[in-house]
Amino acid sequence: MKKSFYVLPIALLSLLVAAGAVFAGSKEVEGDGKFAGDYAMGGSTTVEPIVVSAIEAFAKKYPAAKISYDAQGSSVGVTGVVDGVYVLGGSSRELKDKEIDAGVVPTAIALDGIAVVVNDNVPIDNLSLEQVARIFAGEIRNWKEVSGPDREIVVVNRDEASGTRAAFSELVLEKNFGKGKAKFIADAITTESNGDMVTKVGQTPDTIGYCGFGYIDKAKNIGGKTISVDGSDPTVANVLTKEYPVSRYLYVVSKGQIEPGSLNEAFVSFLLSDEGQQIVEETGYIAIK
Amino acid sequence: MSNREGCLLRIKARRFYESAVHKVLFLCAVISILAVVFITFFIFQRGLPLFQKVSLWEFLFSTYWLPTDEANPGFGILSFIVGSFYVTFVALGIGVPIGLACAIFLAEITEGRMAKVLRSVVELLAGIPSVIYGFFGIVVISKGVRVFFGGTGYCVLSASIILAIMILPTIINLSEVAIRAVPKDYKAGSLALGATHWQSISKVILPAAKSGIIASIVLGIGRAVGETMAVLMVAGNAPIMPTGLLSKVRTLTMNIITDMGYASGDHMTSLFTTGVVLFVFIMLLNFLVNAITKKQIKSER
Repeated sequence: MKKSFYVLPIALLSLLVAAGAVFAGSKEVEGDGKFAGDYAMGGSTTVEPIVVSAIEAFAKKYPAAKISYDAQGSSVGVTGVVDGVYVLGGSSRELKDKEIDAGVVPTAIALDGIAVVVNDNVPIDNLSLEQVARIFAGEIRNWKEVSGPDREIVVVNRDEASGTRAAFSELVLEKNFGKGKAKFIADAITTESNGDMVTKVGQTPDTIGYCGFGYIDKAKNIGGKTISVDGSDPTVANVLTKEYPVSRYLYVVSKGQIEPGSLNEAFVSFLLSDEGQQIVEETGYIAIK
Repeated sequence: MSNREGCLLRIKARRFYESAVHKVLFLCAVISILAVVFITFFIFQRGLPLFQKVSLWEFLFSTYWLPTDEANPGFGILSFIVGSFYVTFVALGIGVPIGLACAIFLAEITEGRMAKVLRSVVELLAGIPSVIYGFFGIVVISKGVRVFFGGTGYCVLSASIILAIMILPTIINLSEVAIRAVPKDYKAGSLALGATHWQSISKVILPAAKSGIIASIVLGIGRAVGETMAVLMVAGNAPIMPTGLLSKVRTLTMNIITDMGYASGDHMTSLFTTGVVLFVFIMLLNFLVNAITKKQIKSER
């Protein structure tokens, strides 16, 4: 009987000690490799395929550096870098003035087009940039207005954290309606990532959406297709000749200038190396070097 | 040392251990209370400052939600409040009859192995993570709604069907307990008067178990209003006022999760304020459950 009085306090105490040891241990650095430690990166879901592949390749050179990438949208990445949650962020849009004032520095790592995708059941192969803009602004609500069948257009949009959305707004809507006058239709399915976007477009009839070039294959695999804009197909070649109108740079962003000798410098220069730029191309984007 | 002294010492030691254990247990109880106190405090502390910029009236009764607009930001969450309740009540319309029927079946009709299997299946239903419900929703329910009812499939109805399934365990378990708690004499009396089994169930047992059943429904409402992930995946998430069962919808919880990652400044505060609204709703529901169950205990005496 008496023994059981000891058990509870002792159990609690040993739990506390064990927990303390675990937490203390995680701070310590394992091995003696360069850049040893845990590094968190995060942001754009468009940049995700590039950075994730780059992390894998980078890990072979610096096995002690454990890097993670948390794909939640460009704005999450930029905010995370400002708050110190991430060492590097991925952004698929230009920085806002407010963010530049906060000390965020962008480094372009790739060029990307934004493809307009529709569900396979939409018998349309081409739209003008103006038509695309008016569809996403909610001025055109039926496919018959763009010489399609008499069915309602289902717009699929990204959430506001998305850099692809911001870039699409700037490159398509603002180009057509003027700066500050572009507003997306509110009655749209809102999706959380490029992957979510192409899944919903592929699985829902009469939809139209947009995604980074890296997600075109996935879109085609699950029931979607790309359409040409102003008669130009969404291909790397057409982006390079500027014939395809919707393209933007992809960035990694850091707080302040990247310090020489830091993991950030090693990682960014890896992204910009031949090997890194090859990863950019393998993941469906356009190398800039 | 005399025998008597030794005995006294032992008693003292025992008392000491006893009180020490009590204190440890008390400390653990205090931790859970503190958790509630801290959550309440910080949600309100972070959420309330919004009302220095936006009036309570505008926040609760405007449908203009555009917090990132630099020239004219909008912080009206009426659409999401309506969305939350719309989705929840349609879910109750589907889930309560099914759940109640299942509870009656478990408490009154079936016994033995069938009941055992059914009960463990219901428990399993309660343990499935909500993101799995969401997957199921995208693959099966949205598609089904699209085929049978038209529209995009990302709508109030899809979200409600998912929520109806998710609140089944709450309603089934608590209603079954309430039905079982009805004194056996009631049923015996009713049967003795010549009523059939179903007549006894519908006219005697259910009315007697009423407050327990209502409590189960209110708890189901709480679960449905607070659910985030599953509805996020099938509701369409458009920040508009829902116009019908096939309209896209955004609920309070979806609004918080959608913007949480990147919001800053007033926008972030407004998400906490949305949390305050949600918190107040859930608190009111809990008070309601307490009031109902208290009434039941009183009436039983």
